[in-house]
Amino acid sequence: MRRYLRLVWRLTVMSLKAGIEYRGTLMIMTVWQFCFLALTVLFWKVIFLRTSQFAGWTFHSVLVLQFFSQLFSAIFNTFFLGSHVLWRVINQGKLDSFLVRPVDPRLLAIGTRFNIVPAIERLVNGAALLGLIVWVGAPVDWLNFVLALGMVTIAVLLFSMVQVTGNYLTFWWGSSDAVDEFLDSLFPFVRYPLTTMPPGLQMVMTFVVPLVFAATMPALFTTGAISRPAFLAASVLMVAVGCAWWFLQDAVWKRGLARYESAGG
Amino acid sequence: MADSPVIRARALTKSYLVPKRPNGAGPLRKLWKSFFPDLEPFVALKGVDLEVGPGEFIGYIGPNGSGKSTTIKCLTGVLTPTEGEVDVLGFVPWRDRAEYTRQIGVIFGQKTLLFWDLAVIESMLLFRDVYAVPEREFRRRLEEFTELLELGPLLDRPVRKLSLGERMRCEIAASLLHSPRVLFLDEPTIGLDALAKESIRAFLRRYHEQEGLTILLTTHQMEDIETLCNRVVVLGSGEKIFDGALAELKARYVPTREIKVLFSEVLDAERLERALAPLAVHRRGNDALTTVLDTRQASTGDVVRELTASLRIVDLTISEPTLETVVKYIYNSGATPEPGAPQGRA
Repeated sequence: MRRYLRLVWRLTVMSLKAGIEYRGTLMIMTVWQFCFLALTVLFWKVIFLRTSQFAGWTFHSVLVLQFFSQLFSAIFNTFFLGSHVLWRVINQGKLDSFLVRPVDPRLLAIGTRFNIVPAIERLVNGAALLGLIVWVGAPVDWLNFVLALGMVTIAVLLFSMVQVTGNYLTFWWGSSDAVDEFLDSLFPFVRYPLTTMPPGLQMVMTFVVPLVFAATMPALFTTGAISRPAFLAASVLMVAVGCAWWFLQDAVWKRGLARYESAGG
Repeated sequence: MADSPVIRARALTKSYLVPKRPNGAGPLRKLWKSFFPDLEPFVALKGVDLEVGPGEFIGYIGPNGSGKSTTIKCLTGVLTPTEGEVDVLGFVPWRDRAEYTRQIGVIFGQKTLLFWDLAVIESMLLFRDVYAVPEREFRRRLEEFTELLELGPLLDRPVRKLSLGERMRCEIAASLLHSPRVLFLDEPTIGLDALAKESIRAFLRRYHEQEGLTILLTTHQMEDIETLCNRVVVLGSGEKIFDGALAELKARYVPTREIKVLFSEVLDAERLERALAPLAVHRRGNDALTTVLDTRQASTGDVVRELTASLRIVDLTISEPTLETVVKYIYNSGATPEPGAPQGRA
């Protein structure tokens, strides 16, 4: 375990150095992401100028939701972007280099794609949103806020497991970019209050692609819209769904690896 | 070969399913089959047996598509064979991956192990952590390789700014940092210029002598094999067609010698014709001869004796065929070639 933590630290340091190597891109992307966030906040402000509530959500709770969605996006894009492009690693035979190391090839395939840039971009956005939340006097329970941070972190792991499982289909199909694109297209749902969606979609977002734990549930809990027992029940459900996805992805990985064909000479 | 092999493969077979071409089908069926093709097995490796003893430096050669890289990938645990058994250092590569890969080093000449945007030293530090090499040992090995492979000026440069030769030197150092017992080299000199190739060969030769590790090398560069390997395995269409010493390979497939003679006068014309009878004469001038001798028909000593008796010789050169000539012959003539190929230039 200690070795793996050291390895994760090393990969993080490397991604930081790579980010600094391209600091021009880092600065442009940070400004661009900030503009995008400002537009999103403006969009919700316009909505809530016409109505004080929308399916139980207020402008304040939407701001908290935006904060958690930024956090989710920061952790996912910094540490798990590799799960999004894993199909290419398999398709192009780059997995070979990871399979000949005494470390889980999945960790190396994902870890070597660590990218510190999104963390820095979202750090600026997160700080701006937190400032805004305090400034507008949003009803935040700070203990709940801390607990909700844990839920977001686990939700990232969960979504990355869904993504890698989809990417493993490359072992059978040669390429699974269509599946990956589909899952990627679900990513923006993190920014929306999912309890406003139809019940069927909410079920999908809870059990199949469990994005409800990414920002919606943490925002509801932080703003006091759901109680602590309800949050605890949601957490247990999330862990159960996470375990199911872990076993599924592990089984698919092992079966896929047995039929891996590599590429080239 | 040593009694206890380091690498042992028995009846190693790897096949892939590939789409079958719909022959003679109508356009609708062809359209259907282009989406849902029938699959047929393509056998990349056909029951290859291989044993490699401790400390051997073995060359694994064959034309493109003969199964060299597939063998390496099965031996390193990248691929799971369809049939057969593999045992390397007591491990089944694809099953005991975590323990096994600590004992081996692998270089894929066409795939970099280093991080493109970062300084070389960053990749080295990552490999230190991947293999859990103790800090002191890591520093010692890195210093050693820095000296032997002249890495000093390269360590702080981003990989993308290195030449191919410089990059390969770094790749070799990275693959040896953890002191592997077996090294698999898949075309390590591909695309390199003559100087870079020589530098890598010199390092590998020296390192092999010094450490006594087992090395399996696949290459299309016959100079790599001639310079480094004491044993060669030739693969053709997924089957092993030769396994033995380099000299034996040459003797079996191209048992010829090229004889070049520079002479000042003919002493005995009749005897000269008799001497030339078993030879294929390529060039014959007033003062020079270039011939090829099939050593199964006459011995080199007899022919030279006859030539020296019939000619006043100024200079005489005898060359054995180059490995390149032998391999070209084997590749061109199929899996069970017959001797008698044209002579190469020494």
